[in-house]
Amino acid sequence: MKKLLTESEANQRDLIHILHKVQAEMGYISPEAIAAISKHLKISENEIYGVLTFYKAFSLKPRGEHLVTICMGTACHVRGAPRILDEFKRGLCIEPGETSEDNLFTLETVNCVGASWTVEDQRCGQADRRNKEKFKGIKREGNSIKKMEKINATRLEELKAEILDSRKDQKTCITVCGGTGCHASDVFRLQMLSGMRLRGRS
Amino acid sequence: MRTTGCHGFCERGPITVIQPDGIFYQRVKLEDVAEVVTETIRNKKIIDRLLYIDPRTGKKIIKEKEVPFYKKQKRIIFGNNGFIDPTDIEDYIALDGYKALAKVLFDMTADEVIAEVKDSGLRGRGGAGFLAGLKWEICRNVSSDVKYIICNADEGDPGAYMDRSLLEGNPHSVIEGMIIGAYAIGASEGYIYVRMEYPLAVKNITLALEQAREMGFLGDSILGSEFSFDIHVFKGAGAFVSGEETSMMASIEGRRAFPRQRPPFPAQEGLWGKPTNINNVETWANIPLILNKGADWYSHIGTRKSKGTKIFSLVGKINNTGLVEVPMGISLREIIYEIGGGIKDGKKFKAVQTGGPSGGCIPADMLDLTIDFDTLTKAGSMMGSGGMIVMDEDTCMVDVARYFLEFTQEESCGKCVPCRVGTRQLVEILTRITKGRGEERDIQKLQDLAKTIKAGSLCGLGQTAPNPVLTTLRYFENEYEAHINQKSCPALVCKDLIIYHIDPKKCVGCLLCLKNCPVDAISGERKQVHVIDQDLCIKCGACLDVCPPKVSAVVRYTGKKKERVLKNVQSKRAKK
Repeated sequence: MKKLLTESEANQRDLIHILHKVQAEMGYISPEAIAAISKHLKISENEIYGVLTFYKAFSLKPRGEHLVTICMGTACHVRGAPRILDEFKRGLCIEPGETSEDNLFTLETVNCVGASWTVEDQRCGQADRRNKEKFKGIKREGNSIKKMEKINATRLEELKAEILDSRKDQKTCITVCGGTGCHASDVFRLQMLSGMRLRGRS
Repeated sequence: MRTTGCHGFCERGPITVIQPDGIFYQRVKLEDVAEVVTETIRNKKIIDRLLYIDPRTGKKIIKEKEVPFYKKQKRIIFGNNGFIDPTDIEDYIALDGYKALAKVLFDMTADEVIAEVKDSGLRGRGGAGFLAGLKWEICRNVSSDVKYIICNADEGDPGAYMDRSLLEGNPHSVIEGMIIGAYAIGASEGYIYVRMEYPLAVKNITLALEQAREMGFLGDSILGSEFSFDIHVFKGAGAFVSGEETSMMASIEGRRAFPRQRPPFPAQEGLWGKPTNINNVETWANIPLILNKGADWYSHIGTRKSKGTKIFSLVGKINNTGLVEVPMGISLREIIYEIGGGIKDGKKFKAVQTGGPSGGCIPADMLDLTIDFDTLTKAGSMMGSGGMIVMDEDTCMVDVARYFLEFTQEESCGKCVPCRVGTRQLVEILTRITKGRGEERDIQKLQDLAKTIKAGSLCGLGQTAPNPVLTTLRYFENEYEAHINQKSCPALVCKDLIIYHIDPKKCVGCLLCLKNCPVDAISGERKQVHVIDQDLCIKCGACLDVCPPKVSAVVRYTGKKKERVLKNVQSKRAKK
């Protein structure tokens, strides 16, 4: 917590940013955390409490090990999301926003994750976590570590020509849609298998 | 090999396109990859089974641009998504990226830029449709040492995701638009407010900003000019109201996202009291294009008062779900039947909902309506951010209205009374109607209340919240009446008004529904007629889903028919 606070500036504008970090780190915002933030930003605990209860991203209670988020967006609604929610409510014996007694599941709803083609989109924390495990060792190379030069306007034209020139020999290019829609329907595994991108460009 | 942004045709994903021929493969599976490489790329052979089949003609289509979904579109903003790897700035530069910026910085004055944007007729894509150039000019004319610009990427309308696709797929086009805007307005700092539900968008835009900064498109003396400007990403925290401009500014300042009275408008007193210009993601993405191709070219697309194209997210009960970019002035029918491929499972089209919770439902007899800002408003709906949710005969319009009001009620920030209390009352009346406890006066009550909320609310959320009720009342009053007077739900959706029943003449006793019933409400033996115990049934619909289409013994009844069946069951039980 201390480390987290020393990393951020002491401005009201950083409050939401800090709350995001605490939530990600600890899974909820504890009274101790509120006190520490209040001291650091020199704003009252009251105000912090007001802000954090206003936004859905923050929770005052610890969440269960698995977070089940059900999309209740319009598209999901007309394609039957309420039925799915009812089934989860019945199965887990909890209402949205609650955590099961054994602390295993928290049930939440979200208004739209913007994945309206794969309705009903049920994001289950468990599956997420498993996937993360599976893909842990793989890192993308390429652009993020490529050295980039500072350019000016005349260089921009040259650079464009250079890029086009360097790609001249590239006869075929397979473009794989990486939008969230296709992503949800397995494109990630597609890229991994072909593996070309992961090893740099071909 | 390139991982690009979204191609838009989400329904058929994962999508792979082989350039330069534009061979379009859909629903590609892991097992297909090796074959694509050996057959298509090495041996130049097309793999038949991965091609898209036009459902109308039954013909297979090879090229991407010939797929009907793409054919009718005009993808000037969204089209590059399919060619660009969003994590690589070079891909953007190769497609004339940042060319407009260089032109603006060295060959144009700020006034000339504003004049160009004004002449183009570009209207804000966030919903209200205010002229972008005029908005810029107002902000430019306010004198202040510091000015801000904001990119509104808090795409809260359920079912709309075009802004996310742009941020994820072509982030530099938004960044370039913002830098040009900042130059024209004289802003030194910018914010992109992204909603937290979009992790990939946050990631891609952050990476894009880093790359742009490294190459000198952002920061001090951009591209060697005298202009300096930088952009920060602000991750939202889950509040629909923060898409409203004054609440968004409050949120960036680290406070609760409460809207405030206007005037003063953000252009006069915005972020930290300084002049601020807010535009939506799609608006910003239009800017580089306008400056590259000229206002004249741009203003030739679209209708007299709505220029350019608009990206819609076509979702709901439609065959081709996805993102479509069409010129303003296209008809609803063209979007739904020619691009969208018609209604799922051959059902009948009932309505299309545009504009999210602030918009309204447009009925079937208005399918030939041409779409632009003004026609939609006239129909009682609005453009909104561009969600287009298609509903078929199985959608209950009262339930839809209730759904939207529940949403706005939940998201109402609680600052002003008409919105906070009024929406709650609307939800309660609507819920009562869907539960079969509606009263005759309810329709009048809904109308009066809706008008009061519209007139008395502080911000856009409250002012538009009753639209779903008002439009469904206007076009589907008969459904309200059926719920209230006959206690029946014509679309067979409202749980309290329907029953599930197994037709004894049709049931073959296959045990499928019995096994799938989560509450063991179905009794019966193999090859014997199954019976649903109405006292135990929770109306989840599992039996209806699993009953084989050939048999289709599970039926839903509402209204008088429901009463008759119930009475029948009771009398049978009494006999036993």
